[in-house]
Amino acid sequence: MSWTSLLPLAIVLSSLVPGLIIFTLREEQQRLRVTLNLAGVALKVVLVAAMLIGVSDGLTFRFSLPFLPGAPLVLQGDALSLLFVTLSTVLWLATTVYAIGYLEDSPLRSRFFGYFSLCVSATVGLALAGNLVTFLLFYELLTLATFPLVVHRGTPESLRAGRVYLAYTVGGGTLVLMGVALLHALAGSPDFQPGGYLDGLVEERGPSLRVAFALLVLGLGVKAALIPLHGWLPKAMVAPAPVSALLHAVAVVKTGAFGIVRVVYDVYGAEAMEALALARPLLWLAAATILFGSLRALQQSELKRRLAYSTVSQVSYITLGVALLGPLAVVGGLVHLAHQGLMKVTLFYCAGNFAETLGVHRIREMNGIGRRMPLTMTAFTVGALGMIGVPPIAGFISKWYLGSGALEVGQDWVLLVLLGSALLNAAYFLPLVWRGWFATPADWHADNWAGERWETHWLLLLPVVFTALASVLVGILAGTAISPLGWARLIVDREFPR
Amino acid sequence: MNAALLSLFAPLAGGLLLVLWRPARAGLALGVALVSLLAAAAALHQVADGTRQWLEVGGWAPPLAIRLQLTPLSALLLLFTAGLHLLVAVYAARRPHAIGGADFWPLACLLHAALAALWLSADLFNLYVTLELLGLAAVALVALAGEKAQRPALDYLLLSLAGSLAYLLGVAILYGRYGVLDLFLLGEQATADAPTRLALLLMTLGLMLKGALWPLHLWLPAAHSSAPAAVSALLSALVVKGPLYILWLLWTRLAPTELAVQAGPLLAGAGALALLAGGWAALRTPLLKSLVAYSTVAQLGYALLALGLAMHWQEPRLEAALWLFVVAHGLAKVSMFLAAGELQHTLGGKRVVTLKGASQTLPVTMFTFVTAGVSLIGLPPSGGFLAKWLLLQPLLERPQHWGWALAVVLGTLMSAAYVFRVVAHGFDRARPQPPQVRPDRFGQWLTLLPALLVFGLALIGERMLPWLEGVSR
Amino acid sequence: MSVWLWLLVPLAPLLAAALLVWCRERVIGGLWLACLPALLAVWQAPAPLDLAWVGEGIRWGGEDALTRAWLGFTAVLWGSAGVFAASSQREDARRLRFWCFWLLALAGNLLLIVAADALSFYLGFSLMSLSAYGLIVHPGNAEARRAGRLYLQLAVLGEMLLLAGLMLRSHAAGGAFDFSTWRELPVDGPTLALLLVGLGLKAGFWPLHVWLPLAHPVAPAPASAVLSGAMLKAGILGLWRALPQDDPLLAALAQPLLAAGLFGALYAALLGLCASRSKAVLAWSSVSQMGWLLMILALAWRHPAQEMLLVTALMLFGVHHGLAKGALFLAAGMTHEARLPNAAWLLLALPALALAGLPLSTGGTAKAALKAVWYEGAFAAWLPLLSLAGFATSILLLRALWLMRLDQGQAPKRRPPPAQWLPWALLCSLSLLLPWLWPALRRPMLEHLGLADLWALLWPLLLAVVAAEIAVRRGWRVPRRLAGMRSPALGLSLRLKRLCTRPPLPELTLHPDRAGWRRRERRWNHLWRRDALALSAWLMALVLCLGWVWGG
Repeated sequence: MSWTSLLPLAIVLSSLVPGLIIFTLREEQQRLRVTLNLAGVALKVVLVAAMLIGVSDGLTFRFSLPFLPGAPLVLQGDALSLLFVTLSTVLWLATTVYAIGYLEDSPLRSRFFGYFSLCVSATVGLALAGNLVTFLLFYELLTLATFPLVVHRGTPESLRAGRVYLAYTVGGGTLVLMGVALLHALAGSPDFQPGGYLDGLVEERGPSLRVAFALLVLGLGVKAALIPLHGWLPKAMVAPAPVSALLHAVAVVKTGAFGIVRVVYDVYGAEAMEALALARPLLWLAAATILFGSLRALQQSELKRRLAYSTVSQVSYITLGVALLGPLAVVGGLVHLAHQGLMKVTLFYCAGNFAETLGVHRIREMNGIGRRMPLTMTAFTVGALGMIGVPPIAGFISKWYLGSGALEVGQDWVLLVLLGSALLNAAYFLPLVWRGWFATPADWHADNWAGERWETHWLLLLPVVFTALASVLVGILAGTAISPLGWARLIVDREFPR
Repeated sequence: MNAALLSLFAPLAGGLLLVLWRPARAGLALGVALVSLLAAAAALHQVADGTRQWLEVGGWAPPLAIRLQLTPLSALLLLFTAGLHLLVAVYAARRPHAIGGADFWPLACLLHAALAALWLSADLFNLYVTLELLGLAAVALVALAGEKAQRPALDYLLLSLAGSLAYLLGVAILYGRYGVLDLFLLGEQATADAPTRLALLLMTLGLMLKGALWPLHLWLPAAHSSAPAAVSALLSALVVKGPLYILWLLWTRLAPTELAVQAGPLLAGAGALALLAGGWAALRTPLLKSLVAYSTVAQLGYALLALGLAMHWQEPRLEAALWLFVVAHGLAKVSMFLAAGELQHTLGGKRVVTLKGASQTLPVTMFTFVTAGVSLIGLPPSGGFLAKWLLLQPLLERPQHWGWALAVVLGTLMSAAYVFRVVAHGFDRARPQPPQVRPDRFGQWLTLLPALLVFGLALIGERMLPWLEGVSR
Repeated sequence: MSVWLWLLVPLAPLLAAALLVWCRERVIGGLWLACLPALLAVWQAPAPLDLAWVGEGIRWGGEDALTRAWLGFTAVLWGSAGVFAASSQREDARRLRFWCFWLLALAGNLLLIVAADALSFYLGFSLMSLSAYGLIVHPGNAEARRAGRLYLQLAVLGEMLLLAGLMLRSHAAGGAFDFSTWRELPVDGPTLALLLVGLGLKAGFWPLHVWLPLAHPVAPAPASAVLSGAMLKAGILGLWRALPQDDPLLAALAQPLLAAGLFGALYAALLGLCASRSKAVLAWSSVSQMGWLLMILALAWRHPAQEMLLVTALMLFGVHHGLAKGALFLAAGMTHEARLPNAAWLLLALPALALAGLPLSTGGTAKAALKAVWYEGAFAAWLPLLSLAGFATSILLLRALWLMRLDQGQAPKRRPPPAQWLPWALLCSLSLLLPWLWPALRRPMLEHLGLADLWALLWPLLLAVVAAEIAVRRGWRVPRRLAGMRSPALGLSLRLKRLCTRPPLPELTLHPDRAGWRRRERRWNHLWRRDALALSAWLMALVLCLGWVWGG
């Protein structure tokens, strides 16, 4: 076992082990818990950085453990998985800090942080999964690890949301299981490989492959919140803010989208997708989801629910980019994976800050909030404008590549979808920005925060500023090699040669 | 073979000793189970490469002789039985509330012996004897729970007798037709004529009744849920598997192939319906142990489905899946019943709703329940998942078999629904002040052990699956 | 080193904004300095800055006269208005917010001028458009909110259309997005439509002007000045940059565009006459003047051969209108707040007359240059209409002056502070001084000093003066129905907003009869639980019978 084979395992374990230890801690061991959390994060950051450097130098990282006959557990670090791993790690870092501040005095913190780490381990494992069976394993683990977080508050409402969440995700997981088993029965479970491994079967087992694809996409679509499988997402908003942030930015919805990327490009491959005529329905589904999610978001009067429906819409950009099957569009989809994560996490942090500091949950309570919490509101504005696709914020880059990619493959109508969605985004985000900055403030502004150094707890403020800055920076520096865009281009160059 | 015999006779002798002399009960039972376990392990080691060993009792040659056979599968089942018995015994010694009285010990030993004999038997009458012994011991164990268990125990007894009778009738018909009772000799001679059909039908019905296979499962939920926790664990994990084993022997070793092919879909259909009906009942029942019991009905559906399809397609992979289901379900169910008993005892209520907040008050037990449940659902990387994977592969290879896969999907969803129904209650924080409970740490962790073992199966899955395919051939 | 000056041009306002956030009120007085790097760049004209390390094809800066002129007048206008605003917004409770948006809009405006590629242009464009919203709704009253809403709706729509147009154009160019490539690349119908509407919504020429007469008057005076003077021109500049020089499609479309521009110039003047506030009249005048700029563009597309002359005309007209309109808006603000001395009225008349086309002023010169080219081209027959438009402009501006004069009556009796009248006076005097100072203007001015030229410029103006005199003498008033006319666009905007808050989507809900199902379930369970024994026995018997039939 050389270090290249142990590194993927170490990355998964660097959050799993602290998580398991945290479960055993008593409530009042606050300092130890924070130390463990931060140590895990720091270790993971270092390990991921090492792997990033290795992969960009062309090293391969592969760890394998026997599991099923013909389907070992494989963890491997390639460019695509690292995009997701890096995103998860960075956002885990931010969210951990946020969660420490958010849950400062609430009960059951050990349980919360335990599951939190478990959830991140599952996400990272899923990103590093080297074949479908491993992917399935972490996919299910993720479902199990997020459920306690969703119902963390333990109120009847959150339990209802948890039940709905489970109903959807376990159902989706079962579909994925069937899809994986079906593909295994047809072609075994070799490692993911660029261009897919099903080319030889397209001729004789075409219908079966189509069914397997439908099963996988529907199953993954539950987590990616494709319509009509999105119902759990707005309900899951009852979870504490760090959980919603992580669910929306990385842990759950992104895993679905990431899975779709894997299935489309590393299992089926563009050629098989075209031969089986699978891309078009997926494209339509994604387009419909984009518009539908935005329309529904308009209707919501609660801030977090509006953000949730916005996620429904935005995550489908990734699917859209993938389904377009053109290099530029794939770059757009992949880069949106990271960009949407950064922006959405910012928005959710902000929503959490509003709720935690001022008790603001509904949109009409946001009037004049910018005067009381200028930094948070600025970050919120950045996130919102980024979602609309205003340059130089990250969202614009994704949109540009998606649009150009659609034109490149001759699907001009997709441009209409993108623009329509951007208009709808503007229609539901700009009123919030307007309320925050321009509307007449409510009376709670009378007590401004003269006594305090910052507008809210500094642990809550720090991640907000960090992610908002990051979403602007990755947009401005998109052309450089170290940006998500640069990395997405590397992936496309390396993995999907055309 | 000697090791296997030791594994059989140790509990038998222990049981008799306990009945006659009543020495230090728990200690003796533990020792017996331990000895039996070690012997079973040795036996498995002897035959692990796929060899078969025979013992002609009394030295007579077939067809006169009563033969015992030791196959890798029976060795595995011996080991499994002894292991679970040892575990339950340790738990029972620690938590007396879970056994319902001192009479548990001799009865458990007898049950163990009966099962061991059943795994080793190779002729129909011998199987009948072990079956009867098993049924009686089980009924007596159920009755340990006292007054409230009388009615279920009585039902169980009567139906068990009826089942045995039907089985015996079938044996008699076969004996009248062929003149031998040895399974393998019968297997060579059997033809698909009317008496054979009738005999097989009778025996199958009898075994289904005793094994609580749908639709003849009606006695099981009441019996299993009213028995003491340790007894429920043994009954659900082991006892119902005995008749299933005989059923498997009947249809794969004895019955003519054409009959097996014909009867396969019927059994598989019953299995699929068991999955749905059992799952639905588990989903709707308000009582915790009743939920676990119905889950047994549903899970036996998987086994029956695998058996029926294995008969229909003559597919050895499905037989491997069957035995993997048996093992995984046994381990998970022991954990689940013991955890349910622990929860019920500590929180003081039979209903599922009493579990509100259990994830705070009894985190380890709740975790045990979930872990076992995850295996029952069949989420990776549990033993339940391995079994389901093995079952799904032949189903998915041909599009015309996908209907059966649909049943598996529905069964999975049902099982997820009833397991998470319990889990969701565990996370309810409706009562802010948890009751003052002091869970027994050792007991808690012990119940977790088999659930963890199920997950351990995943580690050896790559080697175990081909091995099982080989040995169940 | 001086190449990096281009980087500083748009970044200086952003740095100033950072400084503002850090130091608060203390730095407001010096914020106008953020325009200095731009002026320095105009003066130094360094080579363009290649920002390939940020993104391939990104270039800032330009050495051509158009860029420099545009940048120059924009910087001067923003700088003067900035000095003005530092004084006029002194008492404003939310001045920090005002200045934040001010600086962001300034950065956007400067960036889109120095951008030599579409991405940077779009970045500057959207930064400017969105920040301008903050300036428009700054007063916070209902009127500003309404106007701001309409502005924002159309600005966002325009941006999206523009983005689509840019994507299509970039796709046609094989992924390149620098303007120099695009200038050589033929354009197709949909792209052209998208760009025209997207940028036209910003430029505000007829018929895309609906937001302009509402939004510009409500903003604070310095903001109106930069909105009308500098920001509107972004649309025209964008059209010029993104579309090719010589394209058959554009040439074919030139005539309808020219007609639209001309009609817009007349129509806006007519509607402007009905407005009763000086700033509204000025805003309408902007719509009218944008029609002129559109005409220049159309001419240039129709006559690619005369591009050099027309680009000069465009540049002259842009500079002229920017400075003059800025001065007038500042004046409109001042007359509202203070009493001007009589000498100041002379100064105030300068930009108005320049817009009306007074010879020797910037306006007269620009118009003369335009007419000279026009005369050569295919639309020579339309020239009388141009004079009509000149008349309309003149009379509109006279009305604006008249309304300002009326405003004076209500204004508090005090003199405007020097921080307000100094920058204003600078802008006013530039209308007259610029032709002498700036070679690009001096030449056409001197060329068109013939009597015929002068007369051609003067008669519409004189006619307008006469007409105005008559109107004042007779005491003509705007009919009440015309004066009270509300823009239908406001109603539409409100309906759109309502539609957005409550989109007509059906909610799918199921109302199962829970109690009924529960009752049925209980009955069913009871049936099975009552007699496990008998049921099992019956079942077995049944199966046996079936088996008998099957076996027999």
